[in-house]
Amino acid sequence: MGQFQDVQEFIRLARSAKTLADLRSLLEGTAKSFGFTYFMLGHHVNVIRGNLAHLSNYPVGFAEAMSKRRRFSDDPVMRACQTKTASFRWSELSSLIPLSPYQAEVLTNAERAGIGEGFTVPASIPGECLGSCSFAVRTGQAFDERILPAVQYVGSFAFEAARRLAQTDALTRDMTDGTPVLSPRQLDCLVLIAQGKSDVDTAQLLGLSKSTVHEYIENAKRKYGVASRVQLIIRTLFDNQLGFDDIIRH
Amino acid sequence: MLHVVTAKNRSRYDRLRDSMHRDRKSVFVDRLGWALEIADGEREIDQFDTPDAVYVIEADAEQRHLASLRLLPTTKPHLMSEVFPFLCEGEVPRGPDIWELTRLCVRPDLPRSEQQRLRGIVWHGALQFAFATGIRKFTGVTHAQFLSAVLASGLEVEPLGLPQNYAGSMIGAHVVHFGVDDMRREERKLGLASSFASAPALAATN
Repeated sequence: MGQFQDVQEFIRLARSAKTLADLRSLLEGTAKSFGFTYFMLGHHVNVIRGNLAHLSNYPVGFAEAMSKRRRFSDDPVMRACQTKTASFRWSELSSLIPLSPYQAEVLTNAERAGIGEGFTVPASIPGECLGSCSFAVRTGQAFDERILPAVQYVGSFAFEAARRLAQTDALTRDMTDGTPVLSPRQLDCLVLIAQGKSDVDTAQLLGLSKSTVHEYIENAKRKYGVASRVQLIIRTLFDNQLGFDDIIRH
Repeated sequence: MLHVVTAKNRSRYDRLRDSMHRDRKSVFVDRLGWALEIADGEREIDQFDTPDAVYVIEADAEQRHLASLRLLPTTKPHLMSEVFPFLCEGEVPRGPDIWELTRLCVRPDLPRSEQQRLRGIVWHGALQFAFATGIRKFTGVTHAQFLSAVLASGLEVEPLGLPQNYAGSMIGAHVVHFGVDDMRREERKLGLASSFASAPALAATN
């Protein structure tokens, strides 16, 4: 089969994937068929929960060391995605962003862990947190440049499939992982509060009494175990109970 | 307000079209750096901006351009058939129910969230035009880096071939299939009443 037919087949299978585990094994097989050993697909956030996606087959030791380190923006690949929306090779990183000593160290550690040259397809979606899909060969190996157009599409369609599946998972999951679930009315109040409305204005807009609005918000704070409204809004955004779109567009 | 500019009514829209071509220049040439010909130094107009083109344009109260896109019948010469046929692995898709969607442009000096809203409005306008006239598919050439955003909108996008490097960017040809569900989703996003509630005949055509 030609590369384009491979991509079409990947798209078909990614669309019909029922779980993130299905997608993970599909992605692993596809990465191998293009000559890559490793892949990493995910939203660029510190802790994966709610409806955010993360799939990777990086060596366990390296992945753990990375997640214990500081912010994800210290990851040179993710940092580069903030300034570049087109795909890039990791060997180009130093020309894309000024590499901090820490970022240079991350690259060296990756090399030591056996992760060599890579190719990243950023996923920039307005109103959502950044994500990307990367593929890498073993240290000392190289990939064939001619596969990159196909890999570009595999990356984009894989990310979309993961995004869809993570959302479905979040919707159907019994929230036994401890993520609090706010009621629609609580979220209505929170959107208006996040837009800077007072309790009085919020109450008027929603046809509620001021004390009810106050109660909704206080209950939501209790569910999350946070002390301030700012913390509450940040947590609901982080868990994607609210999107930036909800707050900015209404 | 949304306007659909066609061969029949285009003479009424000279001023609006003019401000669209000026914004197209500032977006595609000044900001995105596309190597397009700018005939008079101020307006981006190409060989497909003919009376055959249909424009969906959102205008402000002074009839100035806010956002727009261009639709071309694929039964006539269009961007994909004349400039980018090499992006299609097979034949360039053509037919009376397939139109090419190009030059989606939003006035650049607006806040990002407003740009996003306006993009939704003209896209919804394109869907309305499609349902009213029997168009079933849109084709188009897209920069690979924008693909994630298009896919995230929920549309069913099929690539027509592998992306290729063109003037420093990776671009690819696509076809978009759409249905009533896509229309409803756009209406929910925009907070509009459903077009289909009041126009069952339109829904029945799908």
